[in-house]
Amino acid sequence: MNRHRPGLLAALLLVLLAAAMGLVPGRAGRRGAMGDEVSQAGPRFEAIDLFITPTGPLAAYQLEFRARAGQVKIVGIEGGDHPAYTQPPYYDPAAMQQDRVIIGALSTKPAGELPAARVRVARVHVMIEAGPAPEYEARLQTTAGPEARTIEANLTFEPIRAAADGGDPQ
Amino acid sequence: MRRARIVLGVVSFTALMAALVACSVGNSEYGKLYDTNRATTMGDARLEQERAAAAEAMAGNAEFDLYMSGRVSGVHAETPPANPSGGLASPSAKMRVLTEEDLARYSEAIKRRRLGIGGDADRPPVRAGDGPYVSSSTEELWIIERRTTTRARPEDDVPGSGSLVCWPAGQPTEWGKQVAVPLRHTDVSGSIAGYISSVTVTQTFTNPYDSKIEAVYAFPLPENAAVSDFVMTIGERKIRGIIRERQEAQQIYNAARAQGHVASLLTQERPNIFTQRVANIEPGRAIDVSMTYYSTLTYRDGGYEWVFPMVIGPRFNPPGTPGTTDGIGAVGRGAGGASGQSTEVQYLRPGERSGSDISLALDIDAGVRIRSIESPTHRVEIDRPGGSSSQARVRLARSDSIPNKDFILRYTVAGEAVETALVTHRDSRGGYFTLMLVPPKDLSRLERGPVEMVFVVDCSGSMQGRPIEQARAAVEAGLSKLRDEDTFQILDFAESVSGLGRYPMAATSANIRQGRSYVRSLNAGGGTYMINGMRAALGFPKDGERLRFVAFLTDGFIGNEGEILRELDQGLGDSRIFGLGIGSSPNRYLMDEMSRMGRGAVSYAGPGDKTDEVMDSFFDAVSKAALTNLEVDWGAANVTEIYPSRPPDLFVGRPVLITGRFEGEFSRPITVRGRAGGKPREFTVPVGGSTSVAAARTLPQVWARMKIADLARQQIAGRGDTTGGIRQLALDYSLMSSYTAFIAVDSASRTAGDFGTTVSVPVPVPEGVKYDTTVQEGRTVDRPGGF
Repeated sequence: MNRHRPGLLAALLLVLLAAAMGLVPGRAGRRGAMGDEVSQAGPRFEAIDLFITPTGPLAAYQLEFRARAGQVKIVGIEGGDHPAYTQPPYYDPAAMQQDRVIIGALSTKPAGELPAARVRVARVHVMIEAGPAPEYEARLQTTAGPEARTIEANLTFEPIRAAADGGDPQ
Repeated sequence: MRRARIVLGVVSFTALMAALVACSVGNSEYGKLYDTNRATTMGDARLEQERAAAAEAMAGNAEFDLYMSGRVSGVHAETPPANPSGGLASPSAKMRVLTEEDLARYSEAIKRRRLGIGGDADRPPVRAGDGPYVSSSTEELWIIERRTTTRARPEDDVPGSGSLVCWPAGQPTEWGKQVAVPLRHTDVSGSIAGYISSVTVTQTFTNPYDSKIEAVYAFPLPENAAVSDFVMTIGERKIRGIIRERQEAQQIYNAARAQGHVASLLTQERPNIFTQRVANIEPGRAIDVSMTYYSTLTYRDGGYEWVFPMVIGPRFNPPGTPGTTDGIGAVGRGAGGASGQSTEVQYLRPGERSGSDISLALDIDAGVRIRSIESPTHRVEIDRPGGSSSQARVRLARSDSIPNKDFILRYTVAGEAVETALVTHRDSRGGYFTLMLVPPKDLSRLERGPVEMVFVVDCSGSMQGRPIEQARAAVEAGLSKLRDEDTFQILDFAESVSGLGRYPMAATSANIRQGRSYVRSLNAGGGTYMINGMRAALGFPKDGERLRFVAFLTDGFIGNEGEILRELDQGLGDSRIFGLGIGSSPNRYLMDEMSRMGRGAVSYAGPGDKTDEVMDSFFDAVSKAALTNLEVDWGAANVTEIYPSRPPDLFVGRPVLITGRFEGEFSRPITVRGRAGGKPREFTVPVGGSTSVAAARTLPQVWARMKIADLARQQIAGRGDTTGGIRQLALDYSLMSSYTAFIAVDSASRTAGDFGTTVSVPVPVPEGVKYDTTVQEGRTVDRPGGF
């Protein structure tokens, strides 16, 4: 039995050193402020800006956004940066239970006050849990002009990095 | 072997050192505390950030103490490392191992820090005489910065060294001592259409201190409020919150808080008590949190009543009862944790005032002419837009903006009596309706049978003063309404139960006189052991000739509502429960629920109400025959999932609200059948087709909220575990519940440094309630004087 001790000790030392370097998953757990588990790497947060590029004044839209890979939880929905879409859009609670975002908004402003070029219509705040980096996808379900007619439009999104010290996002 | 153990110890310690974290918080007395126990830290990103902060701090001239325990101290206590920061600190940092004396001096601060950092903010605090919070076998290392100069202790237990308190210009000096609080203002903006109200409550949190804070605020909402929307506003940016399972929302909030993101979390502690948390509020910044709820109005005593509670009354949690840590603690400002309850409300002491105020505006569209409108509780300004007779705008007067009592608005409409009203709504999920069912007028011509009237008077400490006077007057008024064929008994409870006699007595003149004399002798003091009063009232032998009416006269200031309601459900039998809520901020959830479960009715007597008038109205309801054993034929509509699932009795002048789902059309009159005066009765309600109003779009939420209440009732009564059903319903309809919560995180920006100090928002005790007999100071379980 004594012959095995150096080996066991070495293994234990390796485990301890690895733990010190944050490499052992088993040491990951911690208690949150309310007694909840958070993984060792810890979740991180990011925001994804959703842009619509319409072919004419944009009076209404509905879109779907989700992460097709990665563990992502939606933690907030923010409005856009055009006066017609600054209010945070309402979401579909049924879709939200699968962490899919289905949002829509409309504006009754006259055509001249609606965005007619690329515009950020919403920002989705997410928490990314440990695991592979998320892959997002977004789909435009409908867009309409002020006459309630469907218009062509393109949807794009851009993840943004949190700015430190309360500064503006980058 | 000895050498091996030492090596192991050194490696273990080295590992710990390598994992050094500097989780600093401002603490004027002890300097900064650096927790090196990795198991109490919050993610790698935070580690890196705090590691840098620690290195910077230790590179300076500050001196540090070192506190080690468990295995680490066992190996290294005699030979403290020259550089325990594992290479992070400057060699010039002065370190030493704490002596027992030092340890005693720092122990309280360390314990507090453990609670704050370790993520166990909800755990009971360490109390004097308790053993160590962390077991002695646990590895941990604390590094404590020693200040070379002593900072003055802030006067008001606030973070950092200073706070900003402003009184509005011209306020009188008798407002008392100024206390800085992170809640600056509450704005209430609502509208009423028919008998459905939609209300948005916006709380403005600010940080008047010189370091970052997390604000925690326990506040009331109406017990039937369907809270379905939540928005956090930072500057011009608005972030809509997401409804999630409660535990999941708490996890997200904790992670966001630890990483410096501004975040807010709304949880429900009782149907009428909520907790708002806002993390990472930087000095000088303001963050708004808005929530929207829908609710139905009550119609009682000849008019509609809209109530907005402004403050939680101090609850008493009987010690030694099951689930006592799940109560609502009432503690003095800065005495957080003293009650041992998972939810606490901190109260301002006598003579203290905060600058937090409230504004309120309400638009009423009654649909018919509004005959009268008034607030018996507050000064209001009333406008009639465009001279409209059916619309009104009500605003709380600026001179009456201290949130220390329920706001009540009453209005009557044209006509002899309110008519039965059906409101419907359809969407992709199907049809929803609510029916305000008004008792037939001829019901009032039927006399009631003999009753056994049991008055149960709360004589606990919170009833001292005006409330017990009102209760005494109410019972006396009630006694005068009894008839020869009735019987009665008077019970009073506080720490124990007393009574006029052991059994109900005949309502003879002599006995009534004796009863009056007994009531006049009642005084208030002691704890609120309501369950004893409940058991005594329901425990009399059954009287086969009389229906038992139990009238509870109380402010309902207890934290063990579930236990009371369970007892009521089990012992109710054929009895009817009538609640008379007394005081400026009674526990309406308890009172309404007792009356609902007890198939009775509820009335309220505020400080400004004439008790005899309230009792007249009360006895108008109970002195006439009620329509019992209700059955409803819905005509052509196929109606399902009606709530409340147990139809209430119909009392004269007390319409009841029924909600449900439907298919088809309400194209034929609704027929209601029941028994009154010992005979079958039937009447029809000409609905005239379904009525749809703008507020009807809120019916799905109103229906879901009533179903949740019904499921919660089953849970309390022990008729199955309805947790899953409540949770799923709340998620499907985006509603607050005991098992769901709203979370909103600003992930686009991060604040610098630690998440700061948690600050609870202290509130005033309700008007007419004595602080000394209701609020717990210090760490004793029993309150001075009790209540």
